[in-house]
Amino acid sequence: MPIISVKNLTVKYGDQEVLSGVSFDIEKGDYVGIAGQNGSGKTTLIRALLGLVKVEKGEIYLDGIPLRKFNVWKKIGYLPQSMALSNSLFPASVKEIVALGLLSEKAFPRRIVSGDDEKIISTLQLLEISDIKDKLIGELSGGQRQRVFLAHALVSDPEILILDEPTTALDPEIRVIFFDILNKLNKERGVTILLISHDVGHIGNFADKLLYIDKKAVFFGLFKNFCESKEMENYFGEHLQHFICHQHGEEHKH
Amino acid sequence: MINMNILEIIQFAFVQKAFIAGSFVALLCSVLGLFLVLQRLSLIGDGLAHVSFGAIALGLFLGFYPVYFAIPVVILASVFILKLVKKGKFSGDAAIGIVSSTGIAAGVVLASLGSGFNVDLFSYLFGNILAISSMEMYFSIFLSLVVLVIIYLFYYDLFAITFNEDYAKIAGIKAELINSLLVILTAITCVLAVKVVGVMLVSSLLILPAVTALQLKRSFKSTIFISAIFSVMSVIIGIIFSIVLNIPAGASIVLCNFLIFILTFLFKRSS
Repeated sequence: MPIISVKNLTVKYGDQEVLSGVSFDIEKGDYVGIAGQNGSGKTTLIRALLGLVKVEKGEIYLDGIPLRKFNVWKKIGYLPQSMALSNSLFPASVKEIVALGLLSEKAFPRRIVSGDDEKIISTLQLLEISDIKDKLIGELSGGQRQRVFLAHALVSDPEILILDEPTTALDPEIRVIFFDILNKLNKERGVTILLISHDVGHIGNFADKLLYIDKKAVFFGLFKNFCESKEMENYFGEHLQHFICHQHGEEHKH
Repeated sequence: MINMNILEIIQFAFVQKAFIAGSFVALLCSVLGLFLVLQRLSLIGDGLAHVSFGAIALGLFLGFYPVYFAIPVVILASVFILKLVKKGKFSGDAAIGIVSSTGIAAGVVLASLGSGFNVDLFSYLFGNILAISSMEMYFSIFLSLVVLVIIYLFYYDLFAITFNEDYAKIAGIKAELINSLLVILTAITCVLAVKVVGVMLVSSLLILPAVTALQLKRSFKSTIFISAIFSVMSVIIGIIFSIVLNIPAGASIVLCNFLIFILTFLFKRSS
């Protein structure tokens, strides 16, 4: 059974169709890169998966459960776009922000108790940021901040991790470390990862599968199949397809 | 200036009642104020206080006890603001402006129609904590405790939506419900605060302790704690100053809040 199943999904903003008849299945343990041009509907797609936008038509199933009935949100970790840039003045410590990630498994009245400390600290240790647990979010560098938000997404031990352009604001060195962490989570813990990137060539460096969105699902499958696909050659043009796949190959050599 | 020492001042029953009621309301304002400031809803306090003016005028006009009458009216106004934003697609500040100006206009019209209660009405404009009755004090304590218990129960829900609404929704928190709760609690708090500092100065009780505490933030919980301490301190010191210097208590409390803010701001800048 696919861990995420999207069937004929259509989302509208007002009269404008942002996603039109998108369908795909993601299996447990997949590492999927979602690419597409600006305004192609990538962010809308993952916001629809998370129930944050109204679905006009179609069905979404998470872990086999229709989205409207799904309530096991602890299974899902989410890192929204540009989190590292925002919230810099928010008066919360790293530990408090990571603790918010545990609320999905709490019933009313939600409380973070001393027993939750172990989970918080072990997540901070996993991401090598336990030394900054008492610092304010505004006192951290962009890379540290993004790791804190990743810790927030991971603290409930999710089965699915959804990330929206998580490395846009990061230095290249920090970016490499960040992708190493995601790779370990996927390979060693079996976490299913969906990661949006505007750089389709770059996706081949970390993800096994590619979902290319242009209001509809233009391509979904293994990255190597994308490079060999005549259909994609026709869609992108031979030159661009080869450039993407060449970049992928070159980066792999380093 | 009245020649009395502090020990003499605090022995008066009316001063003790003002300390107790004022401290509870200040505590409430400081806690709610932090959530409002961080959600950029600071001016909702101003808007709802203006509605309180109209509601109090209507209560006086109809012969009801104005504070009891104002609470449900201001809660309705707060729900109306939320509806204007959600259903009417108005921006938050425009919705607050619509309700706020209507409240003031209604108050002014009712004041001109019922000239007999003008003195009472204008005491609500600038507050009159030193004239608070025992009944009003118990009522303020009771409602403050109710609101504080609700905030305690929903603390993490409020914290989560204040930090990031999407995060809160994915954690299964009903963000719209919690936002409505925040606005309704603010409505109750505004009516209680009108007695302390008056319609004109309610928003300062919500904003100043919060922005002062934000200068010294070390964590979310400690920021709430600092905000509460400064807020209660301002009420106590403000009331003492108002008696010693023979100035209005509401304005004195707000000026104390401002002084603490400036000192904290300068301290933060220099360090």
